[in-house]
Amino acid sequence: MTGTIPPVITGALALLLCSAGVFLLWRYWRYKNSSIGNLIIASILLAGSSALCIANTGPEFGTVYFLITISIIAWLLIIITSDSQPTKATPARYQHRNILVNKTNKAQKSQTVARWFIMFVLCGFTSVLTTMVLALMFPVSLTNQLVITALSFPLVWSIFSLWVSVTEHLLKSFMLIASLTGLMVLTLFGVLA
Amino acid sequence: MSTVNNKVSSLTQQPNKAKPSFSKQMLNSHSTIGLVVAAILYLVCISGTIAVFYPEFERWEQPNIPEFRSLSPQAIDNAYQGYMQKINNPSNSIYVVLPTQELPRAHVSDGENEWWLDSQGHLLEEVSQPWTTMLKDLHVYLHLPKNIGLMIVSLLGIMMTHLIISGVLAHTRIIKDAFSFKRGGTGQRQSIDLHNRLSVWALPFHLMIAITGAFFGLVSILILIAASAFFDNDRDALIAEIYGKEPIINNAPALDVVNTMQTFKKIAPKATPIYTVVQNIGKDNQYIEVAATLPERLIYSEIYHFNADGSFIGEQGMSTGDIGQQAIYSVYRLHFGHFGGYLIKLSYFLLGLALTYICVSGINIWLNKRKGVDNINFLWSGFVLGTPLALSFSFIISLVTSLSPVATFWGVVALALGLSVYIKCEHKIKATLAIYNAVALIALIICYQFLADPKHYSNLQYSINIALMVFVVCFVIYKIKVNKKMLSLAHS
Repeated sequence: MTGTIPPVITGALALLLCSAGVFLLWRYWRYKNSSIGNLIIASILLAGSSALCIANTGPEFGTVYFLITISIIAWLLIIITSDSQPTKATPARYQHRNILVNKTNKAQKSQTVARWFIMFVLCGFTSVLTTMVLALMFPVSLTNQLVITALSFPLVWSIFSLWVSVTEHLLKSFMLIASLTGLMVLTLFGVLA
Repeated sequence: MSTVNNKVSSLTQQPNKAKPSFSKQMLNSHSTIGLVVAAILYLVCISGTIAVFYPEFERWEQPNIPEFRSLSPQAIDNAYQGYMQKINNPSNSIYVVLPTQELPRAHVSDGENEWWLDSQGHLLEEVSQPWTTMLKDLHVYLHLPKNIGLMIVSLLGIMMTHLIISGVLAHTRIIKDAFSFKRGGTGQRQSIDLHNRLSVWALPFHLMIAITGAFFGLVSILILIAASAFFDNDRDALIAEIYGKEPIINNAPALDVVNTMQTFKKIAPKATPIYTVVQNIGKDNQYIEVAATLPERLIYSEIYHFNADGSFIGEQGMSTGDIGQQAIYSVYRLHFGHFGGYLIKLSYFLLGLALTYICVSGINIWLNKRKGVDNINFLWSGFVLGTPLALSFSFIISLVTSLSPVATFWGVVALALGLSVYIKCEHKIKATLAIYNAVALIALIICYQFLADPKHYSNLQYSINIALMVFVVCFVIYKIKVNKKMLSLAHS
């Protein structure tokens, strides 16, 4: 199809389909009694648009172009359909004196320091080791396993740090993460040594 | 300060209080991390957004360099000859960076010294882009020592991923408010809506930027662990495993760049060469590499190895290797938006601006929720508007004097912070610094007009000047409109 139609036309068609798809999504969202058909058609149009992007520029560029297009069209639609309210003055706020004294006590301070240490040092090592051990289970080459680790450990690190940031049982979490790190070190070096 | 400290300490839960809901916990985590990293994140976001156009700024900074779309094999050879005549003790790797669509000029480099080339390959003046280098260094290293800076910026990638995940999990009305945007009012709802809508709809882009950003610096931890686990602590072996091995050469023949480029054209007719390197120049093991982009491929380049006489050795396999290898080679272009021409650059610029706004609005939302105002409000306003002012001012200084743009940048940021604490009124700080920003941009255009020789102007120089002028006009109109609204509210 794209062999006969010039890329400019397929590009424009992809843009049109994406716009129509996002518009139908908006309609489905805006009108509460809207038919589910809108959602299905929107999904089909968006799938068609992504397929055209991929056919036009290859799977790598095509996916990126499609994701950028959908973001920008959705933003445009949000701005166009925004509700305007009359501007109001912000409630008067008193001015603090510049209090530079930290009101937290020593125990809280040390717990905060410990939490940050776990989030950004321990979780880092744990995430790299865990993703590496998990990646080793995939039936692919070592290079691919290392690449899977390289691209997924930031995500795993964030999930660990998110968990540590909300946990009420910091010591338990620390013990658990430290044990996991130890286990992963043993698996990685103990088994393979 | 106390409020920030309390917020940071809020990660220390009180055991006697009722357990907050999951989304509330996520929101707490989101705002705490956001508060801690906001200032650095803002610097990285704004510098990264502007740095999308760094090749254009490089051209703008040195407008007198001849521009052309291709460099003949003979000209490449001339560049190497010229370099060897100029440098007595050559470095191991000598690059000739070829003209591309985005940077239609060529230069020769050994990593330390760089000279522009004319279309015949003759060496011209040295490459000198102090402001663009300052901008890139701000984005990548925050002007800190390189190892520390890169580590901090990469950790920021982790925190950004943390913010994205916690933001999504905290957002209980993510579907219900998918397209909702209420403008006006006190401005707080508008900020929250815009913060959420911009974040949610560009989530894949933000996640990609965060993960690839984290990858650049923190991959060293992975290399450290993987090298000791699988390669007997041999890091070079690990890197060779992923990025491909270099050829082993003995008794290398004399250098023949012309023949190399002719052979390259025959073996890879669809590839577009971006640079050539002579490795171990003048030594027994010298050889030539040609890096080239391939159509419809996101990988940074494929690398073709040649013997010094131009006979083909083989490809490094970046385009044909494992799928994982290809993904790793694509990270650079994906993060920096260096593909697809100006449309993609503009899109990356827009998405980067959105990310910068998300960062600023996140803090503004938190500040507005507080009952009072203190120095944090003033310093934040000063920092947000002082940073673009510092960027413009450092550009002017680098045009007019030989002072370091890095020192100028941080000096202006410090002055803006001092001024904001002195003024002690958010509206006044914003209005004053907005005027300074507009004036600085106009001064920049005027200085450039006076200092750069118009006979060297190309479309690019005119385009940047006009774009900056249009931006200043739009910015001033917007500020006048906002000030009028504020005045009418004050009167009513």
